[in-house]
Amino acid sequence: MHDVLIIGAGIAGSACAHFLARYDLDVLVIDAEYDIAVGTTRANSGIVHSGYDPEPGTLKAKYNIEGAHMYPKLAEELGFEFRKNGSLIVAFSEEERPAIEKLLARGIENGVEGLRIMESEELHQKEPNLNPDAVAALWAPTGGIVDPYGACLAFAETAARNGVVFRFGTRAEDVELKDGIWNVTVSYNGDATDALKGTSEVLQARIVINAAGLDSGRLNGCASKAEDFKITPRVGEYLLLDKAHGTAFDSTIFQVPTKNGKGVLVSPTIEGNLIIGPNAVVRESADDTWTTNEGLAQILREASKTWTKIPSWDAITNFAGLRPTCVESPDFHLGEPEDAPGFFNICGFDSPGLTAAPAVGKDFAERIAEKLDATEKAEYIDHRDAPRHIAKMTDEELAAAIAEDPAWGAVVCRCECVSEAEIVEALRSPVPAKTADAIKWRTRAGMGRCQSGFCLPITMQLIAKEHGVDLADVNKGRDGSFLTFGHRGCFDRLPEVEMGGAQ
Amino acid sequence: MTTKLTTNAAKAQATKLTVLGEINHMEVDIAIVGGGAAGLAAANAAYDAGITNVAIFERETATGGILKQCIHNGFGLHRFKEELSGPEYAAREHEAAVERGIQINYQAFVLSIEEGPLLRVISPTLGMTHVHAGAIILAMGSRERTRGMLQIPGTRPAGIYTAGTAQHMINLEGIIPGREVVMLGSGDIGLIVARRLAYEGANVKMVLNRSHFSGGLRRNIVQCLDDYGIPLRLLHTITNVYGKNRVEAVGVSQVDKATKKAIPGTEEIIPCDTVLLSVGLIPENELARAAGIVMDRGSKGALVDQTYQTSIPGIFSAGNVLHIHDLVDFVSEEGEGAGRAAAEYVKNGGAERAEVVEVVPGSGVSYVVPQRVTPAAQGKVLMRFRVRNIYKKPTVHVLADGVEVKKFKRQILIPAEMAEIKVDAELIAGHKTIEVTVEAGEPNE
Amino acid sequence: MSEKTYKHFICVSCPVGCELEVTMEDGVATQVTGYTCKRGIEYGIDEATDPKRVVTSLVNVKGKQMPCSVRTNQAIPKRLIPDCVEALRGIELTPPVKIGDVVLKDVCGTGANVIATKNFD
Repeated sequence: MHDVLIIGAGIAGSACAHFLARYDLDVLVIDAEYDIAVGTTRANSGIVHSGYDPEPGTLKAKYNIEGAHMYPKLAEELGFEFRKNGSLIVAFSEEERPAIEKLLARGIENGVEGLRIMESEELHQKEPNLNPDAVAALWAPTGGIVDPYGACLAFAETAARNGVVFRFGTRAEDVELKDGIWNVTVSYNGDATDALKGTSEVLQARIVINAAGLDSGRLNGCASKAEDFKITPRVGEYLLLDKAHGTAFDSTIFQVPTKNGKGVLVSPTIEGNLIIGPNAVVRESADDTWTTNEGLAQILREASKTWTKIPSWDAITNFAGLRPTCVESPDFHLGEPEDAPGFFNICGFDSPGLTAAPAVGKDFAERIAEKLDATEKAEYIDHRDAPRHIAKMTDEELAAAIAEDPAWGAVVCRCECVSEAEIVEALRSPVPAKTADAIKWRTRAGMGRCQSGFCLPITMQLIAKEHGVDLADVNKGRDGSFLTFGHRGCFDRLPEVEMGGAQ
Repeated sequence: MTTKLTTNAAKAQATKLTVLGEINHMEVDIAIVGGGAAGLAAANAAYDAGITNVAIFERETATGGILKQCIHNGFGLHRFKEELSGPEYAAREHEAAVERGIQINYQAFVLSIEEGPLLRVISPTLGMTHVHAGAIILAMGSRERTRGMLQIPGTRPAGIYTAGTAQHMINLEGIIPGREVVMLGSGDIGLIVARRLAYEGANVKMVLNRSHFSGGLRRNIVQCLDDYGIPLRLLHTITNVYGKNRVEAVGVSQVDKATKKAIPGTEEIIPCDTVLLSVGLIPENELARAAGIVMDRGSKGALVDQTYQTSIPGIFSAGNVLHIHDLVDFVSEEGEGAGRAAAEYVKNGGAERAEVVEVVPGSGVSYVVPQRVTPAAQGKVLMRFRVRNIYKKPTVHVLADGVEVKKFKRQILIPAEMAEIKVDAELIAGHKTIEVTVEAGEPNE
Repeated sequence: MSEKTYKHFICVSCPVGCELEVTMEDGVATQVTGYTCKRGIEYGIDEATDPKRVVTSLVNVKGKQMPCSVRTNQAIPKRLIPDCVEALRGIELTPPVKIGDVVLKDVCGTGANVIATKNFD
């Protein structure tokens, strides 16, 4: 039996795992997908919100503020990328000024530091590409940008180094409280290398954390009758522009929020691209992460209010992320329902969930440790070196790294400048990458201009070699996302020749 | 700029001095970035022009660039007077470089070009090396346009590749990327890959082309598509991708010829497991751009003079990184031109760059290379360009400061084939601007 | 009495793309119209009677991931391409392989040899 079973290896589950790893507890994290952060964590704006937006008194307000405070230190301790670039909420006409003044008042009430109204001259000096019509903006200097995948990986790897076990391809089908113990029925749906593939079993735990994101509503329904809410997938579509435009804006530019959310933003990303989006459209299921012509056109149209001359031809990719929204009561749903002791929900964890995750994780870990009477581990690794990337090394560092291992000098991804050594490190991580997508998210190999056209075959070879699988069996992501049909000779069919020369 | 000529002995010494763990320094007369067709030809030509301390920095484990995976024939008719496959063509160029003792550094990645000029290079064997060069030739080639650039909406499953990636998988790794394939774009690489897939037992269901004319050569349409009954659907594009884990279908819509946009309501669902894109190449100029070299928006390559010298003295550019070619023979020829010019630069320093004549594309022309002609130009100046549309029995006009100085008649000009004219340097000299325009002799369809 | 039939081709000898009409009598091309230059005549007759192609493909190499590229050393009848492709599927080369090495002699009785176009040590 496990002390704590965490369902979901997104930012919420991984943050919980990280903070629980301090205690002398048996912690297992399961995820239905093939890697950490495959759901909402992967595809969002990557913003650490300062906290002016949530209604005062809500859980969103509380954990947003706490989380935003935690990020700079966590980024340093755990080696993930974060930059406090500040946010601007722009009024494009005098009619919109009252809205930013209202946000200022709300932000002050929530305890956000440093908020002030920035007037036109200073605003345009700070952001020369901003639509000249902008009259003023709310300046939130504590807002930041983060690599959500990187933060999640940092939590997960640190947790794993401290003994937390991660098991992927493991879907929680049902949860039930029996004699004070949580019985979690799981099915194994991993790839061909998973010996348990296709089987199911019941895992037992004293505590369950429901961090299943879009699936968290269903699991809550299994565990509790008292708490009743539905999680609706709301899609946000995004466009990512080439790094050539990564410095077009320094801060994150919001428009005045509407009832559908924070509206379309234009922001540099931590990796140096420029992100535009999202919209907010309700979708049927958690797999509906497609993008649409209409949606992409909509975000471009709305974003052109911020940046009148968006170089849309320099888009390198588009993507969609789903937010797990609780439409009827839009606050976070956190903690134990009254009829489900030991079942900790993290539900309705849409924006500002990314910002709030470490605060929720720390809070939950402390509450669970107390509940289980757990003590802190005698030996605990509290620091993680940031993954090394040759793109960010000085010449001296490069010289030393290549001397240590020549693979640091072998560039695999030319667009993002990623070496073989970086890919091998990701393949050997305490939470190992096993697929092309996992490599892409960890090392950025394949994220750049050519979108993996040049490096994919090399990455596939490295995965095959490291994990002892056949080259033709390497997946893009989850089981079924096979990249090839096999080796030459896998099809019998012969070409048919047409003699031509229609009469 | 002062340039030091180093001997072969010094070259050998520089190589021997490689110390891992420290920044190494290497001195070469000419550093060539890229060991594909352009880079190899440039190295050999520079050597033949008397500069022997030439080093190629190739990021892959073998020379030849994209030729390695172009196993089809049709290469070398101009250069070798016979039809070779890509690997054979590459092998000949490579052997010529080996015979000359050209230093080829493999897995050598140029991180940046700094003032000096100096190249920051890393490789498993060179470690971190600063290459001090008398001149540099940029020969990095090109990359393919991607789904992201086309902004094709839909899901993001496995099974969406550029044609070149599919070609690499089959021809270099022996793995098969698709069984039921729909291809978007009819660029030459795509057409060749369609035939390749047919030989491997896959079914290429159709090739779609957004515009009303193909981006590939007619010979390839006949011999890669028609021969195998693969339909080419002009004025069609992919408007959606379906499939959760692997591609399951695409939405194919008609395209309005006038607006060039997909016509709403015409989407047809075509089941398939693979989408291949052959929608154009882009010169890979990130290194050049970061170095501050002035670019031409039309060619998407560096702005060069008739010696292929860029806006930075001593830095030259040739091949697909300068502008996209359809024939490797011309890539080699251009590489040789750049190689000779770089050798001349190392020997005698830069030519006078004042009073250059600007060459600009006019009506119907998307770009012209070179974009500058210096007073040093002699004899005939070769100008290569591409047209924007199909022109039957066209006339190419050369205007000097608005006045026609020369015209050329052609049978046909099409966007898929690079065109060229040779203009007397005397006709160019002394003017401010040379404009190249094209005018149709017969109406277009 | 022989029946006249007509076949249509677009000449690929150059970018002009002449629309050729080839008159066939008893399986023999008797007339070509629509050409601009004489390359069109030759092309039309070849395509209408027995079109030929150089075949380029791959064969496996023992112990190597990378297959060896090959080509016929002269054009073979187009109708024999499937047979040629099939014949090549059964071949596995043993290194070393040199460019020009004959991989398959007189492929499908065409008189053409299939030769390697890549070196393997």
